[in-house]
Amino acid sequence: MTRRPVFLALCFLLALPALARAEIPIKRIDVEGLRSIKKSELIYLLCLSNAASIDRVKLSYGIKRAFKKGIFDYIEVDQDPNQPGVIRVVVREHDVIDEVRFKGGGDISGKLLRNNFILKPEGFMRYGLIDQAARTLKEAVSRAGYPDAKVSVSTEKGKTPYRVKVTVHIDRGKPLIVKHITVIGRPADEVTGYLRLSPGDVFNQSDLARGMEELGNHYRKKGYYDPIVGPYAFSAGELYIKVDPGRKLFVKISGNSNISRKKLKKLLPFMEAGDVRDDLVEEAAQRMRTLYHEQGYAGVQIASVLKTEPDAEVVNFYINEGRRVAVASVHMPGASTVPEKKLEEIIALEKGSVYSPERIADDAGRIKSFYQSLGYLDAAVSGPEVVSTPKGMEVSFQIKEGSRYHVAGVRVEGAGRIPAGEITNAIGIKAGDPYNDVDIANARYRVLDMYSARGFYNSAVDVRREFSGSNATLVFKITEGPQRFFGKSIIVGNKKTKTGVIERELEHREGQPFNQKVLMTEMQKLYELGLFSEVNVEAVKGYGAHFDTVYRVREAKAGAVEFGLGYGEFEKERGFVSLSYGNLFGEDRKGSVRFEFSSLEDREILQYDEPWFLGYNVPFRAFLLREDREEKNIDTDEILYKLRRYSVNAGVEKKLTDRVKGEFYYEFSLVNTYNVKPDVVLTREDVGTLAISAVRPAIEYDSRDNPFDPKKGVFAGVSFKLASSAFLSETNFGKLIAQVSTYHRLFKPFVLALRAETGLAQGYGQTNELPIVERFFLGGRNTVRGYAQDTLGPKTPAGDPIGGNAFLLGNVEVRTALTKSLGLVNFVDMGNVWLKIGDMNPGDLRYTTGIGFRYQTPVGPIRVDYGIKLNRQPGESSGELHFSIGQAF
Amino acid sequence: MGSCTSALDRHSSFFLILVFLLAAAAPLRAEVIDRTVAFVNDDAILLSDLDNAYQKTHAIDPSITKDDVLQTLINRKVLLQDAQKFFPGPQDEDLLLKEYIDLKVRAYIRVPEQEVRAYYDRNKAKFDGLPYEKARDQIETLLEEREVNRKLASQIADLRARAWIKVFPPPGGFK
Repeated sequence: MTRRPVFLALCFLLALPALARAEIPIKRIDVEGLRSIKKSELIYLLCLSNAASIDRVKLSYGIKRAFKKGIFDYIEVDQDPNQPGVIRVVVREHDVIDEVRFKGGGDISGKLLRNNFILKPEGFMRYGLIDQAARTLKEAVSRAGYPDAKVSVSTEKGKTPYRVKVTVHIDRGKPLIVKHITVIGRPADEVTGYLRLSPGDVFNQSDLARGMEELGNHYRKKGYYDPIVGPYAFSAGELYIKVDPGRKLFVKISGNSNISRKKLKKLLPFMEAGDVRDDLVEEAAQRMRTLYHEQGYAGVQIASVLKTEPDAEVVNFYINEGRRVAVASVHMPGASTVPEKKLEEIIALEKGSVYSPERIADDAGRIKSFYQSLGYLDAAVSGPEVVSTPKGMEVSFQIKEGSRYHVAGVRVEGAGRIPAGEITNAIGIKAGDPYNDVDIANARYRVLDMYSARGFYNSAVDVRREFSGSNATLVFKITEGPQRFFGKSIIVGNKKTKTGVIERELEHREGQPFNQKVLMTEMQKLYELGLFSEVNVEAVKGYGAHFDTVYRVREAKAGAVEFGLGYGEFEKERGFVSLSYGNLFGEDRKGSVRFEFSSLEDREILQYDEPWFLGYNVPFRAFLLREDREEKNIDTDEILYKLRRYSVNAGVEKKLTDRVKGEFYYEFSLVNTYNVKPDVVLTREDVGTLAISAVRPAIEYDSRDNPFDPKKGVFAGVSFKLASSAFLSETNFGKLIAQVSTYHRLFKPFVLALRAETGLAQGYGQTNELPIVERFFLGGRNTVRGYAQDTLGPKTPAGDPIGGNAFLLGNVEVRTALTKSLGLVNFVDMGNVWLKIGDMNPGDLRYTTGIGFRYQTPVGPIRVDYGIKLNRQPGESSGELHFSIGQAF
Repeated sequence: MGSCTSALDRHSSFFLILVFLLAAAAPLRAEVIDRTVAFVNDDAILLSDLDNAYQKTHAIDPSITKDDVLQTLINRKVLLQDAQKFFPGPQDEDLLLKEYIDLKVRAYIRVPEQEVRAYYDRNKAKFDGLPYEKARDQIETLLEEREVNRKLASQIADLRARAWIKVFPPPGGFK
């Protein structure tokens, strides 16, 4: 009887630890010591979640994963048996250095101290490196002339957790002073000027080393090919330095007339080798020969002579350039199934180009490979045979094509995880197709891609060819690798940018099949944010069949100040200053303020961009604008009206596809038009203060290769602005603008650019005429060149443009690249503005033609155009000159 | 006697229940589920890793200490981190280490013929009359492995000197 309770009690006591270890669902997770990241991020990395029980193996992976963040010193996860279900995560982060202060450095340069102290501000405080840091700095200070220097390092905790201040105490001791400099081997005054040291200076060996290097370079420039500066010795204030410039080298080149001596001398290897030997002389001659061959002097002869004189080496190069020969013709007898033109594209030689034996060397191999890739597996190419004629070199390759092989069938072996039918579709080669190695290689990559995209890591595809006569059966043998899945994402290096900003750009979800290509896309998206100067993405082994992904980013400077000054033919002097910050609150929100000024207008714009509006991938943009503007008659310089506008715009944009973008904006403007010339007034709303409240939906399609200087593609867009009293507008109108521009590469170096655009506006309700600020104007550098800015269309009897409710515009440009940076443009522009939509008459278009120049800059081409009116009206100028930046359209 | 026994039984039972209640009421120490025992740059070595490795190694070599095992784990980690620079991407650690050692260590080792010969001459008795030509490959492999181990140790020392390594021993050290 006594044994039973004793036994039960013992059992219970023994079982207590096990009971404590029992996996109880997590009720709460307490985190201690965390500062740099959010608790939610740490819990995500640790793979802990409320209501789930702890998986110890997953947790261990989680701790290692969290360490990849690079900020942790220590992580411990424990559970308190007194509080079942409560998990405690204790972390300690690395200390970060707030600042490094140097005390007692005296006249030693701060740069030297900073560069030679290995612990840097904003770096991690590695306490184990303190001794090494002190020692390295002491050595640098010693070399700077203070051999008895003592360096000690102390640290103190900063005001915030995990921040420390480092103080470096330097006791310089007595410096070594240079009392006298003795130069051995050369006159002292030839040397001392380079040494950076003079009597009375502290004996700074780093400065001396730099000085010695400069002296060596000085001798090399003077033609000494192997100068020796040093060694040096220092004793009791006396600096002894040995200098031996060595022997001089004279190079004489004669007989050259088509390649300059300067260019040829750049090829000489003597200075680099620090020696002049026969083999180096031959190497120099060979380099010269190659250069001559590249320029078409295939028959160049170069003789070299090396002569040793008492104080110098003299190398003479005698050049007989011969004549410059071009390729007169290229023949390929025997080529019948492939046009000779096609084969000529493959080889390095071009008819009409300079003849070079080096360039022709591999051409026979290239032709043979090409034939084989097309299925002519027995093709043979001999040559080249080169015959020199008065017209140039006649080059021929003898070709034996042989018979063409065909595909007898395609078989797939080893596929299990992806249906063979799907793989056959991806291969895309069928029986009867010509045998083509390039197609087969592409098919193999497509199958590999397919496996890779579905997470079958390390899969292999080998293609076996089974030949029978001139037919081949292709066997795609697949070795399927294990399937892997995306695990967790670890984001490293974001100090200001919130982790969520990066996470929302990621395209994969945890558990999806792992695909390396997705990582590349993600990396590109992160770069496109503009927040990072460096992004690296790598996959690391995660839990089970999962690969965790590590995104290492280096943040770029988010703030920018920009300014510019310029001159326009219309506004005269103009300029802008802009201040922007691209990562407000670490959320990738951008804010900017921009001031624009010219002789005609002043504008201030306060802009805010939110890339993810209300948590959705829809960019939101808002800006406040204040504008003071004068509209002038360009011909008479008379003011037509003045305008002050306060405007608020806010709206969203959404990329619907890669090429299609939609937007929706709301605009509210308070426009005060004053000093209006009476004859340009069409409506009472043209004078005084007017509130315009409108919505503006728009859609655009853009497939241009480069928006700043397109060479191909299409840009098209439609926008509709609706102002209505329903939105508290004092004027009611609808305004539609539609345009399409296309760009076509004709043949090198010509690009054809076309644009058609129209605008239609109509007042309604109480509004008959649109207010002047909303009417259409044409003419000027971006519309119809040859007409001054805004001068096309209806005018008052005094000749002042009043704008209209409709316009048509067309442009045709041929853009010619003269050089890499210089371009020529020939254009024809046409267009006109009509007061009412019903007045539109294509027969009433005004035409201009002209010529322009473009000079490429990083911000787009600088543009000068001169347009001539083709149907000039009485009293109009014959043409106009226009300046601007960027293409007209 | 019977009542005495019964009284004693009652006392014992009461005592045991008291002990149980006290034991049950006493606060239990927090149980560490896992923790960092060391880190090498941004890789952590955990208590669970150490315990697993120690269990396996101790079964083979009972004289080994936990600290020895931890140092081995650190060495392996510095090698793996360096290996990742040459062979990026997730892969089997043992295979990665083998490829790395082949590339960074073994590729530079050539055992001169005279060294093989000298070893044979010094240890002729051990070869039990086996002619040099037959023993040669065996000796070369042995000398190569020795050199690999020596160079690997030097490589590890170099990598450790450059790495940021921190160890968190429990109070009293690893047992």
